[in-house]
This record gives sequence, structure tokens and C-alpha cells, in this order.
Amino acid sequence: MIESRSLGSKIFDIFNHTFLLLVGLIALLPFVYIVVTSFSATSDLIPTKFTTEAYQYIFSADTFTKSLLVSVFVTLVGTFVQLALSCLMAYSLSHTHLPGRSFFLMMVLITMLFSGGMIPTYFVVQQTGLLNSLWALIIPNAISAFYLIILKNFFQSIPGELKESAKIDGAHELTVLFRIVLPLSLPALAAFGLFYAVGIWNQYFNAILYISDPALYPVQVILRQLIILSSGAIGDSSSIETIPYHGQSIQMAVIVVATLPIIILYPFLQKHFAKGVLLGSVKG
Amino acid sequence: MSVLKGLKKKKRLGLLSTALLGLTLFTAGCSDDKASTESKEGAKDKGPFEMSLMFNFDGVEFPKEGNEVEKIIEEMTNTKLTVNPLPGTAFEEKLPVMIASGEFPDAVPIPRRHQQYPYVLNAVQGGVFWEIGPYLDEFKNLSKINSQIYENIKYDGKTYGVPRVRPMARRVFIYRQDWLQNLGMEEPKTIEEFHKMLRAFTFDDPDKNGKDDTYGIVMNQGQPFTYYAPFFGAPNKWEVKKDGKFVRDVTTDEFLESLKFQKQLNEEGLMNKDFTVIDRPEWTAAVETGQAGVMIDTSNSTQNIELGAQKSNPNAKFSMFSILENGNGKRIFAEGGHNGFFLFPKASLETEDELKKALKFFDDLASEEGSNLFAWGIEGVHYNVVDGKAERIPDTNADDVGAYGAPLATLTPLDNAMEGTLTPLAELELKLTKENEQYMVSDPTLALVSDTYLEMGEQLEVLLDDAHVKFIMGELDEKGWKAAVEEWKKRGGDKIAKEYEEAQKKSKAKK
Amino acid sequence: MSQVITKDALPTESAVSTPIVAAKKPLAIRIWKERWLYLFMLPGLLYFIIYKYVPMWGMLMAFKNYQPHLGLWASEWVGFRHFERFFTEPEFGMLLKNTVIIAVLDLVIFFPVTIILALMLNEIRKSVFKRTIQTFVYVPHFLSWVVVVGIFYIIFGTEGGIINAILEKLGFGTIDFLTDSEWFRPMIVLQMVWKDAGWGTVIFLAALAGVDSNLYEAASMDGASRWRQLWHVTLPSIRSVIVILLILRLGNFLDLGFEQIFLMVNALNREVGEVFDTYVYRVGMQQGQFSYSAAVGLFKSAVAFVLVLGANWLAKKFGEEGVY
Repeated sequence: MIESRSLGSKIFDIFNHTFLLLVGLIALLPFVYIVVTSFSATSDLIPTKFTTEAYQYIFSADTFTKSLLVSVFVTLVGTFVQLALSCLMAYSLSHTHLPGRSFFLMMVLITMLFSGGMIPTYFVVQQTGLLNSLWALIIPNAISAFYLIILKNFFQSIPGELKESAKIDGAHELTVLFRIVLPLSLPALAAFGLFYAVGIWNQYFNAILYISDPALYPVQVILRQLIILSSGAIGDSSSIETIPYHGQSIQMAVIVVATLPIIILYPFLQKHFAKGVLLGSVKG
Repeated sequence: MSVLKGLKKKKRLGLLSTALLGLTLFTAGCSDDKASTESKEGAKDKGPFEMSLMFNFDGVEFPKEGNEVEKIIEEMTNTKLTVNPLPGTAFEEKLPVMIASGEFPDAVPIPRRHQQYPYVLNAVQGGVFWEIGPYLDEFKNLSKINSQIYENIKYDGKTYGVPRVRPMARRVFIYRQDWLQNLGMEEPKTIEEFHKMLRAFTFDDPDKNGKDDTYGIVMNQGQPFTYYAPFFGAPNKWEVKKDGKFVRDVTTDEFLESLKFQKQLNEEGLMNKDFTVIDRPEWTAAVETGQAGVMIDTSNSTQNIELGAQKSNPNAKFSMFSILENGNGKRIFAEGGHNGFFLFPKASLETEDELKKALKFFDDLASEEGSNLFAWGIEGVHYNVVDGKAERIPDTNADDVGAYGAPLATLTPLDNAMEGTLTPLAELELKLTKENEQYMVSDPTLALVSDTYLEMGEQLEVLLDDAHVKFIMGELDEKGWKAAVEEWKKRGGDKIAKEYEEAQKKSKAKK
Repeated sequence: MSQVITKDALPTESAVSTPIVAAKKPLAIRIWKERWLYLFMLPGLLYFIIYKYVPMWGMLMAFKNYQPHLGLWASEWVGFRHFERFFTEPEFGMLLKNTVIIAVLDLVIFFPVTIILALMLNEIRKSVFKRTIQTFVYVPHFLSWVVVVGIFYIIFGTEGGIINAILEKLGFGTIDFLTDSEWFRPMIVLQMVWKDAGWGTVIFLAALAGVDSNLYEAASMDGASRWRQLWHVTLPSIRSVIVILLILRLGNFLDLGFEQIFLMVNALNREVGEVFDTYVYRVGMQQGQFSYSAAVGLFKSAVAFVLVLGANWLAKKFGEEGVY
């Protein structure tokens, strides 16, 4: 960058920094509140006593730890499957000269708009033998049409000469994909990986629908179990007859534990968002 | 070139092996599960009956497989249990899909609210479930259940379900007894006295802390509204006139009176203004933290509320009452007497024999042995028998028993269990619900089917509920309320009344 | 056919770099030449066919009185009865209005906010600061709607909510943010922005990361101000992403955050708050009125389809790639 900054530019920088800092704080504060409450012994707004009771409590239940492991596992495998399938398909579709490309894209697009609904999908999941297995949390949503189309767009924006010159050198499509296209799309892959991971991590309804063995529940199901607290949903307090009211700190602790692993993922991916990745590799 | 190719191959292998690894992990994860469903075939005739169950569970952790309670139940009923507990809301969402897909456990608990939902009714009328009426006589404990409750869950005059029995009139006002004492007042018997009590709770510093930090009653949206109506002489939802015509509560002047009373409570600041947006955790918290002096809930909640309140204020004492008179004699809002019921799918219980085994499971749970378990817990762990009476061992936690008892008990456990010492609040609960039985105002449409209600019911109820809230909040005047009722009539209310009338005639003719 | 036309209309770099000979060869040979690409697509295609297209028979439910125990074929045909019911429902006008208003607010407020936020983040040179702020603004996305709405209830409630406590101290009196129908839409938009605006920047930042920094250098050599650089370098480089996202968003035009709205609607704001999704959940899904739900779903899909086709056509008119 050439450093010849005008006054206006400086004022803008000051404003921009201050504003974003404010935005960041507003975004973060409620979460800080959640974390603080989870360590607090009283339910006052400003906590007075520090305690890890809530965490001890939730980890005393085996279910919670197990569900965390399930979630981590499904998220890892699922993200990999989704990225792999999406990349392969998006790469093919990024070739504008591919015969039938419009048709295939249309086909993908339609699945975004029309859906057979819950019951028919359930039947397919049933028929393909996925019921009550962790695959049911991965396969039925293996590709997001939405992200596929955007990913295709990213691939398309890679200068065609690069691919062509490689092909003229006799490189195989697979080589072009893995050696040229994917490395050049790292920021996008990091972003999509993140999208996929978060989507899978937050899955809840599919787990309820397709899985009936509590040992295979992901953490979101347990989270709901603890924070929605029946709320009179079944219309009778008898379901709560035997259940202690979960203190706020426990609810908050559950939120923290169920959210933290996926938040932590971000800083690891973040370095790939750095500027100029594309340019650097093109030159090199 | 060749370098590239080599690389490519390595990568491909890497990919493949990762995929394979994932696959084996997955299959390992679900393999034992498959085995257990398959073995059901083999174990059908001999040995314990394989019983799969699904129900709502809203606690922290459902007891682990092979826990003590499950073992006791399995032994007592000669079954092998597979339980799928689901959070309440999730359970309700899954149920329609499950019934549509035909993936059934051996007994399907239908939540009370779903009794008249189209998906349940269609499935019942389509013959998805066994009609159990003819078999009931064979089961001593199940046939002991109040026949009125069986009446209330009939479809087309036939019995399909085994109810999870609850007291029919169990709604109570739970209040701070210590506040009442501080104020030198008596438990109210009439609406007027109740009103005075709420005023005193709000303005006369009932907790004697010198601060104006209390209010009368915490309200929430839902049942408590209709709970007032019978006190004012209005019916409970519907009333059958002598000529067989059905009249809905909202069309009566008495109902309007009960509305005006609630509006008054709101205007005078005796209740919380945010009642439309709060949920159970908030309104129980309002009472437990000593902000509100009264709440409306089922009679079995009082004990828990008191325990909760005593955590922050050991002096908090609670009691309850359920009837308020207002010149109409004693009248109390009553319900169907159950918290849902079990239906038995033909798809999973293929033969009559299997159906009987499933019924026997519930019958055994309602036997003296089962009732003792659900009422008192495990002998020697949760209670001891002293002179033939159960005596609770203090400071024991029977959550694991409750996790099975609440969803699986059909007959009220105390009906068949041995006698024992109850807490004062539990005694009071029994006394109140027993007394209430003579003053019950019931909804006559519980077991009647109206097609219009099936299709439009939900929308029409929301129309009334919203008008109700708006009236209390002062956003709707009397004219506005009447207009809303007119709209309700026009959009289907009148039709529903007619259909109930027909249905009533038909079911009478059958008898 | 369409390929030829687009190529004629748009001689962009990709068209130039494509060997023109390929287009002239017979179809079979062209397909054989790209057999690897088809092979790559195969798993994805299979997925779409099995898990998306096979279940589409369910759309027929909308024209039947679907009874699960009878199966789809044995259920009675009712033609357009469910659609008639839906369109003549007294609520229909209200639902359409509410849905469209919230959807439009989403497009004209939420969507630009994400772009502006991304651009502002992009202007920050200090990477530590940038990364920190980025991480902060993503956090709310990870909280589920139940939690977010719960937080809003705590903050904006009339009994003990912080905002109302402050308003009261300042002498403004309390505002019923949660029940006043005037406040419903602002609250919804505020929640959307708070929860997802930061997250929405991810895709733009990924696109911005691909911008050739030579372009900026060249621009500032020419003496272009930062504003001009933004206008002439940054924005054009993410234009195609913006267009694609916009088109795809139209595909979800009528699907609003169901859970969010469901949790926020109550008796006092239903007139402005009830939308198609919450309505169909209450009336159809929850009670198992499968056919009726399917009819409403099909209606929504048809509207979305028209919107997407229209937007795509428009995009192509303006020289963009479009979705397909």
C-alpha cells in the first residue's frame, strides 16, 4: 500500500475503527453475559459469587459429554463429505462449455425451491437404511444447493488461462482441480467449510426425526432438552412433576459448552481469509 | 507429468481410506442397535416380551440403560424394554411424522392436546390402532380406571386408549400462606375475598420488607383464562342446553363477566402485564422469588414451588385452594382426567396376543407392586415399610423412578399402592381433588368429533384467545369482544356447535 | 443452444479461453471429452436425485386428501380444494402482507448491512484488530433462535428489562417492545441484524480476499481516493457474488426465519407478526394436516420460482452470469 493518506481518509479510519469496535462489543456482550451467568451462583444481574457448579452438574451427566462427541464426529465427517461432494460438483459446473450444464444447474436450483416435505423425505431416509444411524445426520443434507451455486461461482472466477494452460500441458482434470482450483480457492473453501460445519453442528430437527437411540443424539438435542424445559409444551405440568427447575446458570452453562467448540473453529480458519491469497499463488 | 500422477494417486488413496474409516466408525456406532431390533423376532414367544416405548422426558439425563428402576420394571412385567425418551417439544413434533411413516413403538402416548388433532383422528379411524375396549375386562387394574375417563378419550364411541390418569379437577390457586398470615387474612372463599387478597398482596407489603415490590397474581397465557369462567357461572368451553343445543362459553354474558374481572385485575395492577410473553420458567420464578403471591397451576406443583421458593427464602410457606364462589354455588373447571393416553399400533403389535402382552405391561405397572414403585420409589432406598405403611427416607432422590413413573403410570399409583405418610401439601392435594369431584363443570365435547373443528379449530381458538388477551389488556372494548365472538360464530363456531349436536345425538342413539 | 447465445452476447475471458473448436464438434464427442467432469458430478447428482427428487412425489399431497395409512395413491384426489381454502382464508391477505413486508425489510435492510459491514471490515488494515472484531461479530450467529429471542426478552422486557429500566430513569416511561405491534418489525429486523449480519460478511470477505491487490496499487498510483477505490475496485469485484446471493435469497423470499418469528408472535402483535410459515406450522403441520401444509408449501415454492427466474433473467440482461 502506498501511504499517502488524506485527512478524510484518516477521519474515516477513526470512525471506522470506533464504529466496528462498538458493533463488536454489542455483538459480544450478550455472550459475555451468558458466560458470566453460567459461573454465577445467584441469578442477580450482576453476579456476586463465582462457582463452577453448573459445569460440574452438566458434566456429571454422561449424556452431555457423549452428545458432544457425537456432534464433533458428525461435524468433522459431515463437513468433509459436504465439501468433497460440493467441490467436485461445483468444479464440473464451473465449466461454462460443459454440455448440459444449464440443465444440471437448473436441476440443482429447483431443489432449493421445491421440496417434497418432511414425510416423503423421511420415507427415503428410511428406505435407504439410514434411520437411527449417524449417517442420517450427514447424507440427507450432503449438499447445500445454495452453497453449491455460490461455490461454482467462486470457481468460475478463477482465470481460465490457468486451467487451460495446465490442460494443454496434459494435466488431468483431477490434477487441475486439486493442484490449481482448490488451492486458489482456499478463502472460499475455508468459508464454506465453516458454513457446513456450523450447519451440521446446529442440526436439531433431523436428529429428532431420524434418530431414536438417545446415545446417538447430538448436543443440540440435549441443549434444547435443558433450556426449553418443557415450557408447558405437553400442556400439563405432570411431566415436570419430578424434574428440578434448572437454574439459569445451568442453562447458560449448557449454551456455553454447546457453542464454544464451533466458535473456536473460526480463528483456525480465519488465516485463510487473508488478503491476496489468490494473487500470490497465481504469481508463484 | 509422472510426478503429478503419482501425487494424484496418493491423494486418491488418502481420500478413499478416510472415507472408509468414517464408514467403519459409523457402522460400529449403530451395529448393536440393529442387532437388538432384529432379535425381537426370535424372542417373541418365549422369554420376556420385547417392549419398545417412546415418551417425553424433560429432565437432564434419562436414567442409563440397565438402571435399577428399569430392571425392576422388566422383572415385574416380564419384558425387555427399549426406551426412546425425547424432549417434550421434540416429541410433539416427531409424533405426526412417526404416525405417518408407520415406524411405531409398541405403545404410542398421545399428548392430551393432540386428542382431537386430525392426524390422530385419521389414524384411529383408518384402523391404525387396536380397539382395546373388548380386552379391558381381562386386566384387573386397567379396568379399575374411572370409566368416565375412558369415556372422555373414546373415538366414535369406541375405546382405543389407556389413559394416564390425573385428577379431573386439579387446577388450583397456589399462594403464599405466610403472606396471608402476615396480613392477618383468611384463605378466600369468594371472588370478592380473592380480589381483596390480591389487593393486599400488591399494596400492603405482605412480605414486610418495607418495599413496594410485590404483586397479587402472576398470569400466563393459556388455561388460567378459562379457569375463571365457571366461577362466574359460565360453562367450561361448551354447555349442552336442554334442547340438545351446544352453547360455547364465549357467547355467554357470564363469560364476559369473568373477562371483566380479569381486566380489572390488570387495570388495578394486581397482576403482571407481560403475561402474553412469559413461559413457565418465568412465571414460576415470579412466585419462587417472592414477587407474586399467587399463581395458577395443577395441584401437584405446589410442593415443588415451595421447595423452589425456600431456596432463597426459608420462611416461604405455600398452600392452595381451588374454588371461588360468586353467587353461583361451587363450580370448578374440570378436564378429561388424564394427561394423554396410550394407543396400540397394529403395525408393531401384529397379533392379538402381542396386544395383550402390551396391555399386560401397563396392567402390571398399575398393580400394587408397580404402584408402590411409582408412588414411593424403591423399598429400602426411597422408603421403608413401617407397620405396613410406607415411610419415605428423607433426602433421597427418586428422579429415576419419576422418569418412568410420570409417563408410564396409567392408574393413579396411590390408588393401588400401600398407605403411607404424605407431606401436608400432598394430603391437601388429595383432599382438594377429591372434594372438587362433586363440583366439576366438564366440557361435554371431549369425546365428540366435529369436522369443522378438526379443520378450522386451531385458527378459531387463536381468534378467541387473541381477543381474550386484548380485552384484558384494554385493547378491545366490550363491543370489540362481541364482534370477535360474532366472527368466531360466522367463521365456523356456529357450524361446530351444530356438528357437536349431531355427534351427541348419534352417540346417544348408539347406546 | 443457450450456450451459443450467451457466448455471442458475452465474449468474456472465459469464452475466449474456451477452445472454440470444442463447440463445433458433435455432442457425443464433446461429452466424451468431459467424461471426468461428469464423473465428478455423479455423486452429487445421485444425492440430489435420491434425497431431493424422489421425495418430490410428496407435492402431489397438495392435490389429495392425504391419509398416511392409506398411502398417497389410495388417498382421495381433491383437486385444488386446499388451495381454494388457503386463498379464501380471511387471514390470507394479512399473511401475504406480513410475509412480504418482513421479507422486503430483510432484503433492503439486512442484506445491505452485511455488505456494508464486510466493506468496513475490509477497510481495516491492522489484521489483529480486524480478526478480533470479525470473531466478535460472528459469535451471535452460533446462538440458536431460542437463545437469541430469550436474550431479547430479558433485555427488552417490561418487568425488569434493562432497556426499559433505562428509559424509565430517563423519564420516557416504558415501551412494550415485545407486545406492541408497532415494535414487532423493528424487533425482528434488529434480531436478524444482531444475530446474522456478522456471519453474512463471511462470504463477502472470502470474495474480497480474492481481489488482486495490484488493482488497488494501480488505482492509488492514479491518485484514486479510498472512496473511489471502493467504488471502482472493491465493489465490482464482489458484484457477481452479490448478484448471485440476491437471486438465491429471492428463492427463500417467503421462508422467513420461522423459529424466530414463531417465538416472537403473541396475541397482541399477531396482526403484523403472523407469516405463512408460522401459520402453516400452527394450522397444518402441528396437527398433521399434511395436505394443507403441502398446498401452502407449493404455493410458496411457485412464487419463489417465479421470483428467481425473473431475477436471473434480469441479471443476465445486465450482463451478469446469473445462477444457471
